[in-house]
Amino acid sequence: MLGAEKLSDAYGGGDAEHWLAPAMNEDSPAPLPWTADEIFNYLRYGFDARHGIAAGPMVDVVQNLAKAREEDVRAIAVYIADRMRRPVRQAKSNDEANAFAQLQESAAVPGMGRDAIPARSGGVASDSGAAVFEGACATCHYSGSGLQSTKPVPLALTTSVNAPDPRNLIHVVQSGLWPASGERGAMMPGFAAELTDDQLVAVVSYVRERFSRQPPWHDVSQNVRAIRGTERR
Amino acid sequence: MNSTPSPGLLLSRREFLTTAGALVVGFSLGAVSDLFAQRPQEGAKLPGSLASTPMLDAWIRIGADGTITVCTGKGELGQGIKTALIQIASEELGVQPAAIKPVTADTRTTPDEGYTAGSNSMKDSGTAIQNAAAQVREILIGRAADKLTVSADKLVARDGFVVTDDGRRAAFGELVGDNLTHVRAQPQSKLKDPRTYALVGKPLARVDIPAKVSGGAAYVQDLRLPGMLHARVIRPPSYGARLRDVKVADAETLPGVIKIVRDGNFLAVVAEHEFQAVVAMRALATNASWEMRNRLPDPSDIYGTLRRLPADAIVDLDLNGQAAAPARRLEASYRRPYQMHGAIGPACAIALMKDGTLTVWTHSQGVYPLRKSIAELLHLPEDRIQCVHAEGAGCYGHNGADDAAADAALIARALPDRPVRVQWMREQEHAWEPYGPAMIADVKAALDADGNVVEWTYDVWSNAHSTRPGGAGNLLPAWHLETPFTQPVPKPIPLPEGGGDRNAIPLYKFPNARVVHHFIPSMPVRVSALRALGAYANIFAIESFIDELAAAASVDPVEFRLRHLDDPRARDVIVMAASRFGWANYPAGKGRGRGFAFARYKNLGAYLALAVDIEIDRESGRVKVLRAVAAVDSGQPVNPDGIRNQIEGGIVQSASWTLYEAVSFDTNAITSTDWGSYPIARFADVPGNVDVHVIERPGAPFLGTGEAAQGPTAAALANAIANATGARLRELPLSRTRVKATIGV
Amino acid sequence: MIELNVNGRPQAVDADPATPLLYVLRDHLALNGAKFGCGLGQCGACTVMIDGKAAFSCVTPISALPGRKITTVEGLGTADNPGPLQQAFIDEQAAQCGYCIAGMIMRAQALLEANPSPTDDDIRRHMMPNLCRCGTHMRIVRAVQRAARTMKNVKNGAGVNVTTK
Repeated sequence: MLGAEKLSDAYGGGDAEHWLAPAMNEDSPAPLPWTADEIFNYLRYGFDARHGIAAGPMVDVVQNLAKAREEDVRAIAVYIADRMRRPVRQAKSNDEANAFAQLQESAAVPGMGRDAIPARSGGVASDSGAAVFEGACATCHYSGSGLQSTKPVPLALTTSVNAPDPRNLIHVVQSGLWPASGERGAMMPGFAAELTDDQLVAVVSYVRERFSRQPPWHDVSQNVRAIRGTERR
Repeated sequence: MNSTPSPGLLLSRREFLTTAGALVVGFSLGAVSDLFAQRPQEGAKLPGSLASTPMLDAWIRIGADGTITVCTGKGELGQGIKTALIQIASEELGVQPAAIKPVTADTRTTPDEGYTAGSNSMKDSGTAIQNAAAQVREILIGRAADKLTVSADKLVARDGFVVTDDGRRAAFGELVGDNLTHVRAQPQSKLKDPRTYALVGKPLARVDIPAKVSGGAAYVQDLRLPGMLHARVIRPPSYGARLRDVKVADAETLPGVIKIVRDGNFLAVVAEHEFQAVVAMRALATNASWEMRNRLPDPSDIYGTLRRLPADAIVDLDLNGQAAAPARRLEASYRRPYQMHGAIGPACAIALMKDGTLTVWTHSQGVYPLRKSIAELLHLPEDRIQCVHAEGAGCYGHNGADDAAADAALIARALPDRPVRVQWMREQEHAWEPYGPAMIADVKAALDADGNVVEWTYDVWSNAHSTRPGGAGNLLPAWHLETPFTQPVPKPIPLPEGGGDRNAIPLYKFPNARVVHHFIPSMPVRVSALRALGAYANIFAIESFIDELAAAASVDPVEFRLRHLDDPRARDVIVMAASRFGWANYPAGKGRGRGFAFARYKNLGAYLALAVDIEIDRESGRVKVLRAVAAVDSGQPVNPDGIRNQIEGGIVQSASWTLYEAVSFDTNAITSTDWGSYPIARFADVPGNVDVHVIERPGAPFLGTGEAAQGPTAAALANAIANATGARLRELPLSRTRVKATIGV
Repeated sequence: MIELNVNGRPQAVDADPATPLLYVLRDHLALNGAKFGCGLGQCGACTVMIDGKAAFSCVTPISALPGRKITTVEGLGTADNPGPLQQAFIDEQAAQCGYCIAGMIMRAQALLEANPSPTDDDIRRHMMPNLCRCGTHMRIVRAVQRAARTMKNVKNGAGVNVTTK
């Protein structure tokens, strides 16, 4: 989720319906800087290949913007891109960020639980998080995935994995992503029934610590419990 | 909801007067004088598939213990054929359905009936079994007459016995010794009087459903043979890619891996457990390097590409008659994209090579043609190969089933004595199945001053609608071998069945009409038979254009169709669908629309008309189908609920094709590789209600029904959108984006 | 070895912990009900219940399942002695090819356990994750409604003749 409603707070981000509205200024968590074209893609189509997919309350924003004229959406995108300036958290270069994303997604063949790569040290993620990831997520979130032409955005580049708090990632893992009916779009199952709270905590922590170079999250557990039951389709 | 139409109720007096002569002919089909319409004429060829397999015991076998086995060369595809054939056989033999043991397509035990396709199973196999069962019954009665010293006309077959009216009886099993039924069929059969039917024409619960709802072994996917291994194929990333190099070391050492099979660009892995094969497949895919060679056409100009490809022009119709002078001319062009079968279960097969003999369990639609193809692929004589049909997920035409059988055969050859099960992954099914071809139809017509069509010109461009295996060259893995087979140049399917020109000839009476099929042999995207073949696009085009002409003539679309039709059975389905829908009293509302369409499938199968009621959300462009009402005439219905189920399903499936579906690709590869990149209808998208009215024609020949709804549904939706918005969409799918663009929101 | 509880019975399974439940059900435990459809959690052919909720078995690793109750369509009844939902699907002839149906039944079972009186809209919304390609949707909705009625009758002691049309 990129901006949601929090436009008033100098683009500094905030909360929207228990989701995090990430900052749209130099505090943007995106590893790659947003260009105006990418912001346009995201606002117009709910998707940008280098950043991620609109989810949660942002879906409504995209749906509403779909009624706007294309040039108006483009003007908004140019304006926001200008406000975002150079994010301080971005990687040293786009090449370097892409290389890290690629490395983390090709590290092991999914299904080989015993070979799952560990999370980085200093975090809270457990082996069980790695095993869940290998069995539940890696089929798609893996560089050798059979879905070559419709591969998901590399996790390491997504805003939700690099955000200051885990709420958006928890929402997506719990509820999944479903395109509008009959429409093409990224599709991901939610894991609300498949995983217990502890398993959700484990896999969310693991994803953060494998795919982001931001500090580990320490509030995953509280957030999973707070978000549980708010599944959204 | 079965009903025999009553013309007085359904036709206005004026319509009745204009068509009364034709009506008499039509309803005579159901009249007592013509009860035995299926009885062949003297000297005619044997009925149905008896023509190619004439021995009675090839179809009906009765054991000494009285067990009755009914063999069909057709396969159960989820269309309910097994149950319908049981109904037919038990009706003529005078036994309970439960007494019949059905055996479906198997090259060792059943007749060769080619493919289970084209909605021909009831016509081919149903007719053969009906006649064979009747003749077997009469042979048994004849033998019993000798045995019981009673005249045959005093005997009836009942519940596995031939019985006399004074209570004596002889069991079928006692009567059948010494190859009694190993005789050639006669052209004529003593068929039961349809008025006495106890089973045919009545709903019978499908015999395959209990296992399917309870986890029984219902599908080829569920077969577990002793010592069975699991295989996965690593497909190229695109058509024609060459496997430059693959490092097998990582995969070889994975747990459970038994063997890696490589033959040129064909790469597969075999493991003890299924998921071990999946993991090894991923490891191999990661370590394989491919050279991309083929380019796909620019998707944004696919219709231009198709028009520019060399094509053979086949003149299907050239009528030059007397007519009034043209007063007004219209023309339009319609387009249909590549569309997918989209089986819910990816292709699967099991093969076992033992003592030089190969057995393949497959959900192929044609076990005999498959056997021939695999024989060529493996350089084995056909008599060393047995292909056994086992159900798969619904196929709706030629999908990956045969290719998976060939995969299994190739792998089993490399690993004799162990059964090998291969199942495709979802992305493989999506990317490699042969799609329904993209098509273009250009239509021109002229109306006279009274609004009658006096000229009609129709040109349809299409690839082949069948690249089914009749040889190894149509099997996907055969293209990837070190010594590859090349795909033969396809041939068009001739009329009256037709391929790209299936249903290209309108059933309407036009005094001047020309229909040309531009058959394009070269296939930039892999294509083959998808349910209804070209009929889907042709009926979409014809029935859309009929509405455009009706609008130009300021005539109600239903009335306009009736004006141009004199086939009474066509008129009956149209009148019934319109009346049950409430066409005349349709309440116009904002964003609401009604649409109508009609066709007789292949111009020789079932008649179907339907009306739909839609609502358009102006902000999103989303089309919601509120209800659909169809009337169908399948001749003598065997299982009316089976007919309803097929038509309901056909409407829902065609609505999904029509509103949502197009295979996407770029110049490198197919990009529809999962359900997110090839969306189909889900529960929220299907019509609120679908009513199917079956018109009964007692004793009339069975008419193929399974594909009858596909074309009319597409046109009815386009016509409803035009009715709701005033704007005409001529390119499929009728997506949100296109609807929105048309209504200019 | 990983301990699973499937249809009320403990099962020790020797498979990699990352193995999705679907493969273990089919390949190790010889249960046919859950089907491979996509392996991506997009179609629902593999649907089972985990702790009473409908779940995609194709994306649930067995490492996540010790101590949890797994129910497959085999746990609801047999061909000879079908449970109320299975019987309702037979009565409504709610199948064509039937490949999706075991998954449909399991997702519907989870709905009826949580909501014994769903509306048609409730059913359609709840069943969204499961795909049917034959177009049997309307019959499936009718079967779920029929099962809801018979389950209530049984619960209310109104008789156990669940096959009555």
